[in-house]
Amino acid sequence: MEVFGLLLLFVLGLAITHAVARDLPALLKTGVALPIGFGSNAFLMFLLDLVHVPINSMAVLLSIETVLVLAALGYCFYKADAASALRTTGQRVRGLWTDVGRRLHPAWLVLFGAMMVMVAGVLVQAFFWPVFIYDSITGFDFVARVVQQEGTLNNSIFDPAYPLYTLRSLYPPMAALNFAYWYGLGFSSSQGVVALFYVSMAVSFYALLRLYTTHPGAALFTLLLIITPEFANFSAMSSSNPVCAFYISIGLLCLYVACAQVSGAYGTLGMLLVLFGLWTRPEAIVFAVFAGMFALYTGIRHRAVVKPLVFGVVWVVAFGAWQFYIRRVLGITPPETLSLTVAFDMGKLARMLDKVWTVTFDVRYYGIVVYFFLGMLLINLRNLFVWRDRLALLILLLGGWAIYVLVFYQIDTDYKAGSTNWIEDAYRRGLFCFFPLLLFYTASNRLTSVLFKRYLDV
Amino acid sequence: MLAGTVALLTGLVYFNSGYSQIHEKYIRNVWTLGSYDSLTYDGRLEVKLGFTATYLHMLRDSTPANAVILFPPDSVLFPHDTTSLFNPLIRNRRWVSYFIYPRKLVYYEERDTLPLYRQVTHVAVAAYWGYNEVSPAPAHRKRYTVLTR
Repeated sequence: MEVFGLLLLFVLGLAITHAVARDLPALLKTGVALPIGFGSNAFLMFLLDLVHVPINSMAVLLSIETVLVLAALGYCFYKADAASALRTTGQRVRGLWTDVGRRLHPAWLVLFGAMMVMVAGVLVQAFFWPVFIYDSITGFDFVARVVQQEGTLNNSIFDPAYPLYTLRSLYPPMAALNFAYWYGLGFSSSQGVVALFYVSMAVSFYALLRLYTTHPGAALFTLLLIITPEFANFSAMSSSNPVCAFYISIGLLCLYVACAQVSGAYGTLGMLLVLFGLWTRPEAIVFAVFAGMFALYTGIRHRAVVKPLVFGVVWVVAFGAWQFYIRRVLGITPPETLSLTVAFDMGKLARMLDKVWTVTFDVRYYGIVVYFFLGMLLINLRNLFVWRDRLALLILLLGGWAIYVLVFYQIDTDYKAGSTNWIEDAYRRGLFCFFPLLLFYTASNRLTSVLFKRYLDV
Repeated sequence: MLAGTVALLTGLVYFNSGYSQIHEKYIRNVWTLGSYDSLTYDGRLEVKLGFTATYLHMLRDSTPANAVILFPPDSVLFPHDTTSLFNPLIRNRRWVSYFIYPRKLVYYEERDTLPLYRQVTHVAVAAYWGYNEVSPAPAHRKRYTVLTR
């Protein structure tokens, strides 16, 4: 059942991706298929729970998903002659390997081998060890195990007479519901879900990089992403941060490609991924607001504003639905940690930025990624001013980061010694969303592109 | 480029503690996992979390699903004069509940404030504490066990 349940989600994700964004490279579709399958599965389980269908009944879940897969495949056949689409995809996959084969480079082989070893290492660790991190034990993994026992999200964890929930139990239910599905399939540790997102991140990032650089270039920067120490560590644990990082970063990169290449397919995929990100962790709202503004700007530029507006409404409904569920169905008012009024406090800002600086530039957490990006930004400054090289990407990256930091400033704490470690914990892991963007800029700017295409391709 | 790639990867592993830790954990140490192969899920959790997980698994396996368990006071779990075997998180109800769900727990310090205390069905024994909470107390005493009230 384990393999069947996973395969079903993969095919569901692939069919949905193909239905909503047909003109994408086969490799990218393959990379995002499982995360989109997981995302759709979470929404399905939530809707079933609302109508009181027991969501621990795997027979019911797998039957509905099989029907959905058949419907999505049927839609693909009806809409776009899926037989030819499958042929085209097959040709594209074959073309990819031919392309790789033709340009086979010893350095690419070494990099690809290193990627495989790293991915295998993370998968082995994730599937071998049980869930042990505090956040998951008191949060989403506990919710998942109880959902699997009691068949509903509105379960004994939220019993007002004996409450066992924490702030993490109230996070949007993407992780908890998919972990519950995972346990229902017969797996023993939810870490496997996170590790599969890690694999998806590697495949999708490689596919996106290939739009701007050569195979060796894409392999080098994908490897640098997946060996980022803190990211790799958390990808082998039961953490929702790598899941959110996948949805948000690949979503934002797709929106950037949509803007740069005037491609509706990338825009749709980007907005779909950000929707699932919103359903994963609360801080994704920060990125969604910025992504929404960016998508709307791109829509206005390309005279196609309907899609961003529709997705904007869907984002608000999805985010609002969970907040409504917490308050009205579970009967819980989450504590307000954010202040909505801006009061300037120089001391607090200085203390916070000091911590932000220390964490961001700590090579034990993020290796050379931040330094590599800043170095490349400096070298590429002339191209930035003369050619506006990757300006939209930089705006997306630095603007998103500035708003993200601002949110931490608005948290109701003074950042003095002994206060909650917001920067050392939440900010540190939230940065995962930015690393694919940092490395994408480093790999795709004019200088690096030329370097790889002219000198490092054969 | 091949030489550059190999030099870069080697340099990262040797000169940066973050990458060397990743290399150690995900490449070199993966082969040592075989020595834990025979362990069950619970056994692997006990490798990660130590005695506390063993103790909580004992409580879970020795009590019915509807049990309400009385936990020892802080002074027993964390005595001042000796090093405790317990993880400080054993004082966190939500963390402990993950391991013993659907059983409920009451800390000894809560006996006057938590109505659930009246429904206690079992007593968790640690360092011989807990025998005074049951009547009649069994003659044979164990350092760590669980008693029916």
